Amino acid sequence: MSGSATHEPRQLLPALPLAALFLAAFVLPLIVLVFISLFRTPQFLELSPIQYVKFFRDQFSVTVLLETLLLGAEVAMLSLLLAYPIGLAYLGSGKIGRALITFLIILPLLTSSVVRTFAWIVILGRDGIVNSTMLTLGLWDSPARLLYTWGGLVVALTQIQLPLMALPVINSLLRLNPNLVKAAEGLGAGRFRIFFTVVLPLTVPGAIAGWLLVFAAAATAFITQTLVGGGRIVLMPSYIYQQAVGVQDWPFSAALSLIFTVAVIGIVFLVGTTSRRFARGIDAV
Amino acid sequence: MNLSRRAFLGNSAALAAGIGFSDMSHAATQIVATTYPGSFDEAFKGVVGPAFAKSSGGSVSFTPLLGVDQIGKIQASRNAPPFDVVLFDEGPLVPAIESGVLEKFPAEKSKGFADIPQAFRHPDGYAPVITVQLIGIAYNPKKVKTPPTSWEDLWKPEYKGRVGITGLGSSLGTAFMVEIAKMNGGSETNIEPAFEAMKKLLPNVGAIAASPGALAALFQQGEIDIAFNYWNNVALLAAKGVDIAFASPKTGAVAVRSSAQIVKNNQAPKLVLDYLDAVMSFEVQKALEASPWVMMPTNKNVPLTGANLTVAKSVDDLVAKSVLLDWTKFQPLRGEWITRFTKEVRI
Amino acid sequence: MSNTRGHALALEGVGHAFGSTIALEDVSLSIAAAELIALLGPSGCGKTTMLQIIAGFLRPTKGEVLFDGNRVERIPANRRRIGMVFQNYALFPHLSVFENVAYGLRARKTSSAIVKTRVAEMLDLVQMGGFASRLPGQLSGGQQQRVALARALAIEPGLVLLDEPFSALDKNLRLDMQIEIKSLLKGYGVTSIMVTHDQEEALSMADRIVVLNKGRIEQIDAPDALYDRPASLFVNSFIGHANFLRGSVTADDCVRLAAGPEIRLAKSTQHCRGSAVVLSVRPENISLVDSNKPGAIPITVRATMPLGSVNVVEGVTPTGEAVKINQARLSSIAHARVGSGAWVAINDMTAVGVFSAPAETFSVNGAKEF
Repeated sequence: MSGSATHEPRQLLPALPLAALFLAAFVLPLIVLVFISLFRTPQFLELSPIQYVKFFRDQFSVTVLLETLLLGAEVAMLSLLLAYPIGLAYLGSGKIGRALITFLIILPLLTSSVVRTFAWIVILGRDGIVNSTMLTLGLWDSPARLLYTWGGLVVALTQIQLPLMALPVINSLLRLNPNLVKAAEGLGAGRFRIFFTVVLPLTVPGAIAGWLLVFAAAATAFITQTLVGGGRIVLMPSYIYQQAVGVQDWPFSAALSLIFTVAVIGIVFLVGTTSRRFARGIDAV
Repeated sequence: MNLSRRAFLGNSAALAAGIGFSDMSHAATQIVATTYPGSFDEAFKGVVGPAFAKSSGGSVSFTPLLGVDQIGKIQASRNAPPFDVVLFDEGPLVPAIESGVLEKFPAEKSKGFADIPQAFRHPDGYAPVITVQLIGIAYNPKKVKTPPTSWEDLWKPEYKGRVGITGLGSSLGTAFMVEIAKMNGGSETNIEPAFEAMKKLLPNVGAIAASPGALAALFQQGEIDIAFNYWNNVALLAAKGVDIAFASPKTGAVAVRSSAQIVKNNQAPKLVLDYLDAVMSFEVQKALEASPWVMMPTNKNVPLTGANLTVAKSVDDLVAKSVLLDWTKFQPLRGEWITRFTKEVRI
Repeated sequence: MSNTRGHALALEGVGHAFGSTIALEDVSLSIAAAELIALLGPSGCGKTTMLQIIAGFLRPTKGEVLFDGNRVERIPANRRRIGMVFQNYALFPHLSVFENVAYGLRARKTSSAIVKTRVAEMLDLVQMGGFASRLPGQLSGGQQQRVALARALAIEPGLVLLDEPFSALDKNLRLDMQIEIKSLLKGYGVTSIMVTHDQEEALSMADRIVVLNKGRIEQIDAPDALYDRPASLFVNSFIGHANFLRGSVTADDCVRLAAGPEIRLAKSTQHCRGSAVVLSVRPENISLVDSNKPGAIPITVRATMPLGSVNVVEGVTPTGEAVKINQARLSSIAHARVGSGAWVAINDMTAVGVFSAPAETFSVNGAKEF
């Protein structure tokens, strides 16, 4: 009855506190940020779009942005690869198994990301669990550098952000009509064919939702990026922090923040719409 | 358009915050002082807080913050600053004074000022230095058999992949780079030789830490065996049983002077002065010097003990031996240096 | 192609338990090639479990499943060559009608040229040739039903299984589709098994009906035989409507009804004298009569319903047993008035079932209304 066509003011009333919070805590600071970014110098003299020109002319800054987006995409992809087996295991489990899987997925969310990040430092360190195991087993002859590497960062972020992917994927899998899988099986399809022709296409919305959540979370994960990536890997969040706090160049860091925000939202929007169009494309065949 | 930075910051912050979330009305019997996060904060809470309460009857609430974060917060609320006393290394003190948020120190009213050596008094009349952070070479004595004697030792090929560094965002990294520049024919304003030297150091660099604290932690994790670092960090880790030792380079350890400064428009000028006097007092400085804090005192009457004796015989000896840098010369250049370091020093 | 391309199917002592719950108990059954069988029973009777076992989605905990005499329990569903039509058709919503029908062929790596002709052939068979590019969501229920059947038949199955195939259809459409699907299956000559809880559906479509109750087979018979000669009180109550009259055996061929009269049976009963029995009388086998007719049972009329071709009268005996009478409209000899008394008598004693009375009070809830 309360269709999208009728927007009675009273119906929107309960959303008001959230809207006010959103306005005060997100939109207003963003406007201030836009304003700050338009100054020519850190002394706030003279308006000019020079900060944006400076960013796009600077190979280093552009690379930092691209690498940050790449990190988000890699973490999201790896999470996606891991989420489906987890989801399928969940689907195939009994009550206890499902409760256990849910618990294991939720568990990381109950600990702070700082704690989880430190756990990864312990695991990936030179004297960490991975290195000492491999050395003890004689598989490696010297400790490998895992911490403060790109690969280590991707793996750690994937573990930390995995719940954001696993939950929507499981939700989509649960909503998948089990008879469709049986129908495919009865028609002679093997497991892989069933997965790729039936399960995957029909759970794409969940996968995309998860992908976008993980992408945005991983690209902006300041703490984990800093602690697991170290000072060696420069990514947008730490670059912004450094330019604002270390260099005290507020206009440039404001411009960095806005470019980063626009890039992340842009990718989220782009992936969201193209995948939806793609999904419609499948439908329209 | 010519808008002053502080007016702009003040307005925009007020705009962003709506009404402002800062605590504007702390009672006059309480002051707010900042500390640095970590052991510094613990030491001040444990030692300075009680001593101040006893000597003045007031109380102090401590807020751990990094030096650079403090300036912005005061600027955002100049008429009712969120802190009464702020803590600065030499570097961030320069822009803090420039931005006009600090008040000069009423030396004539102070009880403790007489005990502070000239090197620790501010040339322009701001509050004096209350502790010194010494920068030297930290190393793992189990892996590095001959204790290093000079900054150049970091370049030794035997330390390939075992050296840790940190960027110019910290006083630590900045002081190191300036020393390296001086060592290679540069100066406090000519950093070029330091960047060239860093390029040669890269094969040795095993990790670039995001902060001095993270650099110290790298020893604990066994990621690195040698790095420039603060004496205080090393002493604290060594006391915990980590394999780490400290060596002063033959050119002298660099001393970074930290001072507690008075914020303009603070709520209780009398209590603030009492607080600074408490921090400079013999009793407090002696307690901070002792284990487990091992902070370097600046009150010349405080004798050095324990681990501190291994780096200097007395406060006067400390002043005589240490390298002091003129941060006013290069602090304005630091922003550029930080960005350049991030771009050029990559492994 | 011959018109018996289906498997002969046999179940021998098949049982299945989910944990401690027994879903199917010692079921044996044999089905000839090209036969159309209905598995009928109330929900929870085990019919769906049986279908899952035949399809290969469940492995029975005991017993054997044989296709043309070969055991198949260990052959997975995707290698049994069974065409399955699901309750809500389970068409792949993201694939076109063409791709749905082609799915099984593609899974068998059939060349695309053959897929094309075969799918076209199947869609023509179910009269859906013009809908190849539509998505399932754009089709009506009946059209989806046809596509589902085409998809099932496209793989040239040895067996077609239909799980409640008409339950999602409108009542009006249902009968048309039943006739259509039956003729398609029969014309195609494939062995088919459909699961249903709807006895009308089973009666109108199946060659033989397997009535299941609580995991056991109650009776396997042709629709007529089930209706006329139910083997058990359960089957009797489940198939068609029946009036149940309590009584006790007074002689070999005599039963005294609780409601009053003593009735002579058409043939002698196996029940011992004195034992409690239930007589089952179909509504069309009972009429309103004059009070002086021998064996007349007194009732109080509760309702009369003129339903077009027949008049239905509902009454209750003095002992509280409900009685339903279907009377041809013309033979309205007696006019029953609601609330007044009347007399009824059984027309044909040969069509009366005699069952021993169940221990607990027998409920006729299972009986279906016409």
